[in-house]
Amino acid sequence: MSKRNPMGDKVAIVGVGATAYGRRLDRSRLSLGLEAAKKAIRDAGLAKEDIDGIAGTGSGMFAVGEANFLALQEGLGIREITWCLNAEMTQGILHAAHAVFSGACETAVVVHAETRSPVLSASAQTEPLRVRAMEFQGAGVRPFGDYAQGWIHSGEPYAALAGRYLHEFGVPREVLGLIAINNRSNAVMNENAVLRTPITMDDYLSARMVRDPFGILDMDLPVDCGEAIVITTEERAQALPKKPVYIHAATFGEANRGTEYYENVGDYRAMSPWVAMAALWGKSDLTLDDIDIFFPYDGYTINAICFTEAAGYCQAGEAWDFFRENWDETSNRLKIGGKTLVTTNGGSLSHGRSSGFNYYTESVLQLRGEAGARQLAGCRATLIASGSLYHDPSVAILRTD
Amino acid sequence: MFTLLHRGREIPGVDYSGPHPIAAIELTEQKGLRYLATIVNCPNQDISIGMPVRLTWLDRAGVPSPAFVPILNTLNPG
Repeated sequence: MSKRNPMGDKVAIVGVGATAYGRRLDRSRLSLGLEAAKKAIRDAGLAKEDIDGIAGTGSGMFAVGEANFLALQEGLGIREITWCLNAEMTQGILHAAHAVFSGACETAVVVHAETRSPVLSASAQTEPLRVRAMEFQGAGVRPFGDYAQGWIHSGEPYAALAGRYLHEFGVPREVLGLIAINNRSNAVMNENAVLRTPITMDDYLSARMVRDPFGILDMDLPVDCGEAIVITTEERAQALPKKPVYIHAATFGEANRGTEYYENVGDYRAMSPWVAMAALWGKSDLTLDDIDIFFPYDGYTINAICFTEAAGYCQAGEAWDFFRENWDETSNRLKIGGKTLVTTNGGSLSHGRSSGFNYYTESVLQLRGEAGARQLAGCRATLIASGSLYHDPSVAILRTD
Repeated sequence: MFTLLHRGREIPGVDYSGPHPIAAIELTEQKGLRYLATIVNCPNQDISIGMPVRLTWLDRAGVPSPAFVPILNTLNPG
C-alpha cells in the first residue's frame, strides 16, 4: 500500500456547480450535466477556453445516454482537450486530479449527472420516458446479481449485509436510524435538499419496510440532478478569485471479494472502505482531530456505518455506542467530539442521490465559507469517504490554508 | 446473511407479499462457498443467521428452482 503522496496539496478544486435537485425535473442527463459544468466553470472565474480536460459520467467511451465527455465537449463548445474520461460515482474527481498533477491537462471539469432511473426508483418504472431512457443508457451500468433468485445489485446484498452487521455485533436497527436522522436534520438547513421534513426515531422505525432490515429511510433518494467540479494546479488556483480548496490526500481502494456473485460476501471487515481508509491515512499527516466535517457515503445507511468505523472513529461494530456518545440532542444530529459535523448537506439520503458528488460541492462551499445558513464556522478540513461497500471507493481529505 | 424482500423485480412464481426471504447459504461441504436462494417451510420470523438448512426444489412456473428448508433440531441435535 503506497504511502507516497507527491500530489498532496498540489492540486485544487477551484469551481463547483450544481443544478436543482428534483424528483421530476424531466431533463436529460446531458442537459443537467451541461448546466452544472457551465456553473462550475463560471464559479472558478474561468472561460471554456481554459478547460483542456473533461471527465463525464458513465461507463465506456461513448456512455450512451449519459453526460459523457464527447457530448459535454460538444455541448460546451470546447474545441480541444488533451484528457478525457467517463467515470462512475466520484472516481472521476480523483482521476482528474491525477491528470492535472501529471500534466495530462491543466484544468479539468468533472461532471456527474443522474436521473431518477427505473433501476433505482419503483415509481420511475411506471414512467415510459424514464424506462425508454434507461434502455438506451450504456451497457455495463445495469444492475447485476442473481436475477433468477432476486438477489440484485443494488439493494438486496446491502440489506443482507446490514442484517448480518446487526446480528454479529448485537446492535439494534436504531444504529442505522441515527444516520438517517442526522442527514435529515442537516438537510433541513439546505434549501436545495429534496427531503427537508425533520424525522424522529419513531418515524424511522415505522417507515415502510422494503428490504428487511432496510426501510424506505435507509435508502438514498433517486433524483434528477447535475454536479460539476473544476480542478487545476496549485499555481493556477492561487491566481483565481475564489479561495482554493486543496486535495490534501486521496485514494481509491478495492478489496478482493472473489469473482462469482461477489456481493455474496458476509465478512464486513472484508469490504472496500477498510482498504480505502487505511490507504488514505497512510498518505496524510492529518488525523481525525483535524477533520471539521465528515461525509461517509450514505447510499444506504450501512455504508455510512462502515465508513465511520473504517475511518477509525471507532472499532468495527462500535458505531451504536459511538453515535450515541457523540449525539447532539439540541440539533438532533451528530457532533463528533463536540465539533465535527457529519454530512452537513443531507447527503444522498435527504439532499438527493448524486453518487457522492454532492459531498465535494458541499465541502468546497463550507471550506470557502459560502455555505450560508448551514456554514460551520472555521471549517478547514473535510473527509469525504465516498463509494459502495463493494465497489468504487474514492476517499479524500480536502482542506484550505 | 439474509433479507426479507417486501418488493422486488418481477420473477415468475415469486410473491413479495410474504415478504419473500432470500438468503446466502454456506455449504457445510465447503466453507466459503455460498449459494443464494429462498427459504421455504419456515415462518419468516424464525429465519436466523447460522440456521442449518438442506436443499429442496421448487417448481416456479414450470422451471425447477433451488430452495432451502430448515433442518429440524431433532434431526440435527449438534
